[in-house]
Amino acid sequence: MSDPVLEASGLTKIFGRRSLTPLSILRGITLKAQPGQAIGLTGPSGVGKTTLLSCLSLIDLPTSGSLRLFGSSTHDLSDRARSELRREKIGFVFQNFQLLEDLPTWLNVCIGQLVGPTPLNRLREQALKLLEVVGMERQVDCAVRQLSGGEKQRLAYTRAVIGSPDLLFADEPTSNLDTTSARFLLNQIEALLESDVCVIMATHDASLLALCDHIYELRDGTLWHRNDSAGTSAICLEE
Amino acid sequence: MTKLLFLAALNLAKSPGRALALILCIGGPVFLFISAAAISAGISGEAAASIESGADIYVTRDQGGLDANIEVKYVDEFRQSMSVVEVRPRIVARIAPAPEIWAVLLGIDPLTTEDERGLQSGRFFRAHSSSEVVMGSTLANRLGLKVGSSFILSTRTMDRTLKVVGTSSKSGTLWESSVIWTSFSLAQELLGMTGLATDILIQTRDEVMANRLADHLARSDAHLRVQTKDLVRRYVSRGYAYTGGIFSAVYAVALALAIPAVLVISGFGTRERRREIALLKVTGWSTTHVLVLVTLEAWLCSLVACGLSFLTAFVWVRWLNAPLLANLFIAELEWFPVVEIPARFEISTLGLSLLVCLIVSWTGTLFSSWRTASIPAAEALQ
Ligand SMILES: Nc1ncnc2c1ncn2[C@@H]1O[C@H](COP(=O)(O)OP(=O)(O)O)[C@@H](O)[C@H]1O
Ligand SMILES: [Mg+2]
Repeated sequence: MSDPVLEASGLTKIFGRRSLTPLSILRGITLKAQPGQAIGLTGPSGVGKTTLLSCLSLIDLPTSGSLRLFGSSTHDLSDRARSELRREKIGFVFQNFQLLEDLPTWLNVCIGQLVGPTPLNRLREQALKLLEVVGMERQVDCAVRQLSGGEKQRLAYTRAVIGSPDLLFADEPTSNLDTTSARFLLNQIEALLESDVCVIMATHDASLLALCDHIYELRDGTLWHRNDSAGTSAICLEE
Repeated sequence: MTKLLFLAALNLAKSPGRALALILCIGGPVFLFISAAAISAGISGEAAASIESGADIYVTRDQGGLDANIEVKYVDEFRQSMSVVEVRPRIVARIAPAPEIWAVLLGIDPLTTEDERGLQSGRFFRAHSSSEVVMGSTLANRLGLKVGSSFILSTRTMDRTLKVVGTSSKSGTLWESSVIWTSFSLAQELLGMTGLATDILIQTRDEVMANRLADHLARSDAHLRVQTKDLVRRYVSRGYAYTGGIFSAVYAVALALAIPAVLVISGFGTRERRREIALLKVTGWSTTHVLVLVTLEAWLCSLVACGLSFLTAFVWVRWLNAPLLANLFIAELEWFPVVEIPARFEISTLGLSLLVCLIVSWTGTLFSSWRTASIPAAEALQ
């Protein structure tokens, strides 16, 4: 078996540590993901799925615990190295899109790559190609604020994959999509999995969960493996 | 880098209101600075020129350390001194030829070498004429006088009808443009200064001689105040340094106000700006990249602000003659000056103001951006 793309152990996240009522959202997360694997995270809203994805994708810092990405520890990576990882190996599809509303669509797609080595006209070409794939070739030069919710979601997805990431995070990627768009995204993710990309997503969408090799439920700050055959019975990974 | 420059320009273009406010905020103080520097340079340039073309030694009477009128009898005494080329008594006084219009009454006989062709029109007054004057062209215009017209000048001692026989050159200095120039004897009469002069001007063969003579005069008569060209030069430059100092203080305040304004306008800590920066970080920008972008934005603004300020200052001072501004630097000037304001636009001023622009815009934006860029992106995205 190949090296894991992601290895988290004992990750905790406490919000407002210095306040009177610290909020302990993650309490020891242990997770391992291989290339080409899909991992689904479920759990009621507010339980910390977004927080977990942020910590795993270097968007947020865990309070404690260790996280290894692509075989090396992320603990004492420099700001520059973290940025490079995010740009070249990690993609993230936000639940609320997180786009730059005033900039044109194509520029949103390649915004991260602006600091990479590729020249601007090549980046635009790449962005056009990807936008064509998601059926948005007519909105290439539109400002993002003019797009519909579904279009924004597709744009967010396109931005996440332009760097050909090895690890893709998706936070409820189909929650804003109509059924055709959702099916389309499903196909895209399937294709990514076939090309050995590891996908970790927080979702309640049954068809997305059906793609997953492992499904975990986040409860009380820890991950519980959902055994397909047993359905409801859960195994705490730490045990 | 070009990609970041592209994004910086786009960022500014997509929110023109913010960019404009930033430009105004940076450009305002810079406009003041450039105009002021140009006017200062112009005035001190004129002063320097008139010192150089003036006499070598100025002698007045000492009255407790102040200049007082000097007896004309000294003129003959000075003429006896070695290496003296020319000695002329002079009267300089402030008069009001019309209500609210101030002018300088200058009573001095022209040098034999001085040429009437230096005048804009007309001729010099005759040596012992009791009514002929040469008038600064700007003053003549304001009083509605031409060569050949007469007017009544009221002084403390008398009313006298004077006749304009010439006007001084258009391109003359600020000082010349509002002068009424008469013969020494007429000025004496007008002001009732019989036997007295404001000062006595001595022209010597060279400056070394001038200094030697000045020393000699000062030692030989304790009642005299003797000032050499050198000394005047120093006084004048110190005077400009002084006004320059006041101006710098005012300017520092303007700048100090500009920085927080830049902070506010550039979206210091605003949610939107924080989110933007966090998003860039999320998609793979390092803190350094973000700072470069912010710097480029600030500098683009500065370049535009600086260029616009320079143009505006140029138009304001050169073409419009510095309304509402020149009177901050020149005493007794009206809000909308009639005389031509001397101004000198120097490349070093432009350089300095660009530097100031860059620093102001930078100080205003860099720190907050750095703060936002260095916290985890998730926090800034909240
Ligand atoms: N930066 C933060 N500061 C304080 N509390 C936070 C912060 N981010 C998230 N939370 C809280 O953590 C909890 C989990 O949030 P989240 O991870 O978004 O849940 P989910 O994605 O599962 O709906 C929520 O109660 C939320 O209010
Ligand atoms: Mg969430």
